[in-house]
Amino acid sequence: MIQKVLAHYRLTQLSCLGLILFMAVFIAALLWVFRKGSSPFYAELENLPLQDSDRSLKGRI
Amino acid sequence: MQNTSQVLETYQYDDEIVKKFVIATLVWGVVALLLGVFIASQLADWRLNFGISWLTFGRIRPLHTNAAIFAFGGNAIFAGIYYSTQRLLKTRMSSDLLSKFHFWGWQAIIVAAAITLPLGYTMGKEYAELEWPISIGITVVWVTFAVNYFKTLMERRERHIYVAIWFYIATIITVALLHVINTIQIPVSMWKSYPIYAGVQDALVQWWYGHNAVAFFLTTPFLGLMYYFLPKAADRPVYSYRLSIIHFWSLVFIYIWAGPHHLLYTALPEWAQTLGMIFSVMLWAPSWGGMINGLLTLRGVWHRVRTEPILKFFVAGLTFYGMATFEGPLLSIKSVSAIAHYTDWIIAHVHGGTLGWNGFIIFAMIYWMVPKLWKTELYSTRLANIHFWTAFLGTLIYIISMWTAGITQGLMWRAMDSTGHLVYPDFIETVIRIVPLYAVRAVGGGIYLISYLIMFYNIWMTVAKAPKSEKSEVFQAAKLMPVSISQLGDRPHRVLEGLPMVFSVLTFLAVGAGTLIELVPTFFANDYVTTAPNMKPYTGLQLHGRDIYVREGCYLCHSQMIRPMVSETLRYGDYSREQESAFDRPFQWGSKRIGPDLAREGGKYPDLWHYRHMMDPREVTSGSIMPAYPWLYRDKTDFAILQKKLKVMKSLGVPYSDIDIAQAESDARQEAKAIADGLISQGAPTPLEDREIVALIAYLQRLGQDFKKGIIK
Repeated sequence: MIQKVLAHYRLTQLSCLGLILFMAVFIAALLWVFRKGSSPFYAELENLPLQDSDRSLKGRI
Repeated sequence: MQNTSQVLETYQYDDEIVKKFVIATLVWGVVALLLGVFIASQLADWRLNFGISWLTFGRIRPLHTNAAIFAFGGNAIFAGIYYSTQRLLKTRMSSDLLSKFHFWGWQAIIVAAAITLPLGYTMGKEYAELEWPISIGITVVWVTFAVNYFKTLMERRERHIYVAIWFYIATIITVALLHVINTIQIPVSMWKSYPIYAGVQDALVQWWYGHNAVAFFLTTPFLGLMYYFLPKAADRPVYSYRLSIIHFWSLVFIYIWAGPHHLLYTALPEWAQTLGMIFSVMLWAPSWGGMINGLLTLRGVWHRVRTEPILKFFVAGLTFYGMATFEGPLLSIKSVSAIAHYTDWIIAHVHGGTLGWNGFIIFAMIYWMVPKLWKTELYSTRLANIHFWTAFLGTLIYIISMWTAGITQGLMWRAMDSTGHLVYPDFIETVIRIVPLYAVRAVGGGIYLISYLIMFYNIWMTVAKAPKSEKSEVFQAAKLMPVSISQLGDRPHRVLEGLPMVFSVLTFLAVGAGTLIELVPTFFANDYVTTAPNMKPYTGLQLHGRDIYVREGCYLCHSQMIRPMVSETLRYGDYSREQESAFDRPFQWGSKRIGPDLAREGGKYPDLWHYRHMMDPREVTSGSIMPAYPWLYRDKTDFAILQKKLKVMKSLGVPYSDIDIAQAESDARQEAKAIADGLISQGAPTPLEDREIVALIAYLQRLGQDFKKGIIK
């Protein structure tokens, strides 16, 4: 039923736009996380839950 | 880069609110599981409603799902979020008052649900059953939670936002969006309302909600909790932080749109279809990436899984997550869906997710948090291990019995012999075959309930033995100084990943874009919104009967949607057309066939058949597992409210004339009298015309008539 309803739908540009938009964001996110020099940053982030609150005084901006 | 002007601030965590939510989780968990075992037993033996309306399957099943998702799951999510957020942000929740309002408000909503659902006050939309006053309450409590949460984010003492917080933010934003859009409705009275959407559109909005409620109430918050509590329990960072980011954005941006996106591609040019296919394949990586990310976090500490129940729960929970996220896409494949839809396979699938994934993550979290919160040791690790194995066994028995029942019944429905006839033309034959499996399922659920009670006892003893009046710890951290872009120098990425407000806006845009792209087509493809010219809306009596149908939760066992498949049209009649449900508020397509489809029920049997059937289903269908509905023969139809109902329907665009509305009551009485007289002449006892059963019969006899009479083609 849903398929039949959507088959009525003719605004294909919107579907194309959505598809391209989502794919672009997905690939952009992939490239973003593997950007150069991000490793130390992520190493710091991933340790956040393991820090105890009173050990938070190490170098920050 | 070192900032020397750091000012140390002292703060304490608000663990009292976490404790409250933990206790609420434990209590509502018992209720949710008990209700589950109760309704499972009712399917194995129909007598177990004891002839009482508010204990009947159709009214208790919504209470079970609401209790499991929003009471048990909800309180657990809040406990974990309040615990981990304060620690990850190095600050107390912004306002204790708002936290308390959130807690008591949420419990009030649950209690309201527990009272109204058994009484039959329901919207008739799955997982969104609560009537409009409670719906408004949910909105208020959720906004309170959001305000408190975002204020806390602004007051934080940790610049960086850990990925778990991202998942929480996405949950807060998206659940609000889903709830508000899906529950827009016009009240008729204090406990009755009609949705502004009708038929196909209502169905599309409802399942956009349903699909994403699973994503943003049972998946994203639990992933956030997993990303915090698993590293804590394993005492090592998550395997790949990068993977968690990809995991996050693919879930938030694409999951919301994932439902029908395959269907949307069918009208696209070929290059786009190819791209779409590649994209779908790529999406497998992140959702399984989440599971793999969790499991690989345990690299190097696998030996601890042998002895530590918390890690056992995490490993099993993640495995169930992987299984459910594999099974989900599998079920969406058309040829698999053809067999699985409406069967117990779907029930197996959801319980793999809820009992296995959500349940086990909650248990792991509780075992980890409770000793920390009450500053003590767990009462018994041995009992926790026993809990794990019994819960695991219960889940397996549950899933396997429902897989077997689902596939068995799905195949029996489709079975045709060489002459093109159904092998099992009577629906009841396929039910009787799987009733023993319903009993097995109840046993599986019962084992899970027992395992839960073991945990309950264990936690009870842990708390009882905890030292009293322990002061909460005081922590110190530097105040967060504002940073200008120029200070960031060589590390500009912090602009994005450190700014929660910008990030929240991006998340909202992502979810919003997904929503638009999914919902816009449904508003434009409006062939189904226009009705056939001579198609008449329900009469007042039929409409009232329909509301009784909704009230009794008939849609939980009977679909009204015949699919365009030979085996279905042979069994039920011609397949359903879009226009047929144009006046249906709410739509009642259903999602499960414990009994047969009713889309073409009208005129199939005489009124007397329905009269006898609702009195005692076994009198007309030997072996039926449907409960009897004696109260429909006692309770009187509320004719006075019909005028109001028709008026509201007219305001929503249903073509009732002013005369229809003015004469609503007298017309309905006349129609009821005609049906009642017919029944009485065949031997039914008087008085009858003012009883609810007559209105329900009027509705059932209308089903599918527009098509049969050729009004809809």
